[in-house]
Amino acid sequence: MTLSRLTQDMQTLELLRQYLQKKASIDPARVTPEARLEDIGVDSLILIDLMFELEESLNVRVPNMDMDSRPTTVAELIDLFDALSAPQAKIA
Amino acid sequence: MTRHRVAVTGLGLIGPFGSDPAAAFDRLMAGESAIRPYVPEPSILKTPVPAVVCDQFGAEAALGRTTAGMTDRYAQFGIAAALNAWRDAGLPTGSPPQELVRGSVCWGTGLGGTRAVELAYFDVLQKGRTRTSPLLIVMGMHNAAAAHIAMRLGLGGAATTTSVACASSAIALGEALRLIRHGEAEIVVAGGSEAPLTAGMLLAWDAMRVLARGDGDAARSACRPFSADRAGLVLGEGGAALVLEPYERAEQRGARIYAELAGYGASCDHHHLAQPLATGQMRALRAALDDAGLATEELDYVNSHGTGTVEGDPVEIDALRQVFGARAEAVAVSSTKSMLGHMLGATGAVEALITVLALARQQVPPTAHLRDVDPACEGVRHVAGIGQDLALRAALSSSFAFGGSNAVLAFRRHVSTH
Repeated sequence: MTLSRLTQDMQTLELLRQYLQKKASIDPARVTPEARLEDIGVDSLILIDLMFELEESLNVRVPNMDMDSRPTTVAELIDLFDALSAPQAKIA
Repeated sequence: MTRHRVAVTGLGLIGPFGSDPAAAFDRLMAGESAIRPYVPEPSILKTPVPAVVCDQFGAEAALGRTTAGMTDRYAQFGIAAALNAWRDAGLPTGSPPQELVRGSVCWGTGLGGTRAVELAYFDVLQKGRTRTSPLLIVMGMHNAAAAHIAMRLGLGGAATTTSVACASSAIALGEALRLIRHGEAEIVVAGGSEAPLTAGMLLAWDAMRVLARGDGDAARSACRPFSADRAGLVLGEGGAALVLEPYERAEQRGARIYAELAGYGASCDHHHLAQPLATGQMRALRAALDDAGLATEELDYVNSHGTGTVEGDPVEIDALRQVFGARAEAVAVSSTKSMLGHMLGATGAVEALITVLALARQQVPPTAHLRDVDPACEGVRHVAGIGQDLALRAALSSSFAFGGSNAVLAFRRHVSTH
């Protein structure tokens, strides 16, 4: 993993922690890369709101996805957004 | 088939005087108005309008951050009122709650999550945002309050929402009465909530030329039902919930019984969208008395719809005069909207709560600011200015809606046998 990718991951994780604390009172210490979203209290409704907030913050759009490809862990969520945040994926 | 009597065992309120029903009732007895000058955000209106605001209410403190963040203000009032009523009934509020498969919610709201929807569209249409929150659908839907109440309390029976303008929550309470009476539910949280004080809503009501005016101190007495100088209605926000259960269940668990919800009558004027008709109201009044098995001689108080409009108040008094005949002069009548404003879909529940407390305390709150009764509104015993101690056996709470829908609830005093 490159240093820039690591920095990007940390920034996305920090955004996630801030959002989940603000919106759902989820302790930031529980929001670790390996944590399962369901286990830390992120249900389908919070997830969709969370993805909306991340899209707005990072200026990206997540395409509609089927149930099987939805992120189930914090790391998968971060990967999804980091992939979209790559320069070629940015929307105008 | 067994016909269960329905006990009111819990009261929950979110109002301008806070969430303690007894304390709010005291302030109503003193004739204190909660009406203040108000300017909604975004401030489209040029001048403040009199309104009733629940400014002590904090959604996060009452409901927690997660629920507060995904609900419209109307639902927040409703959930908080329901939780208060549940606690007041001495029932447990565990998390997760114990499932009650025969527990129901009957809720009323006229506008539902209109505030969330309006603010989101304002952002899109005025601020140039291109997206709305993905939570807007579940915030805006009319049954959001009922759904959250059922989730919080583990109520697994029917959760319904009635939207019939200003009669919404009176009808919800009437439907709840039927669920208990016919054995379809063993406990029901019934009530209503409304948060109508948005810029768009105030503009629309103002355009109908029915909003009372008055700035500064004059705002307090802007709503003057039955008064010769009445000049319109005042909008308010809030919510109330009643816990209803069969008498035998309430007595078995040693619950405090405030009053009996004894009858419900509904009708439609089938006449006009906004012009009330005495004959239609009379059908609902008589149906409620019949349903409760009450003779007009047993009825001592009517918490009236009494909005303070020029057109509406005389029609309501005419209906009461015709239903009660010679006894009308002895029936105490008041409109608590003179102090709490008109909470639209929540008004039936809030006024039902007040009527229950009136019976429990043997006290009638007044129509504030009523000095000179309009001759067209005479013929009943107006309780004006401040409240009165009165012996009350039974009371009605009336709600008459745009669209011509009428709903009347009949309550009997509970006399403890212990």
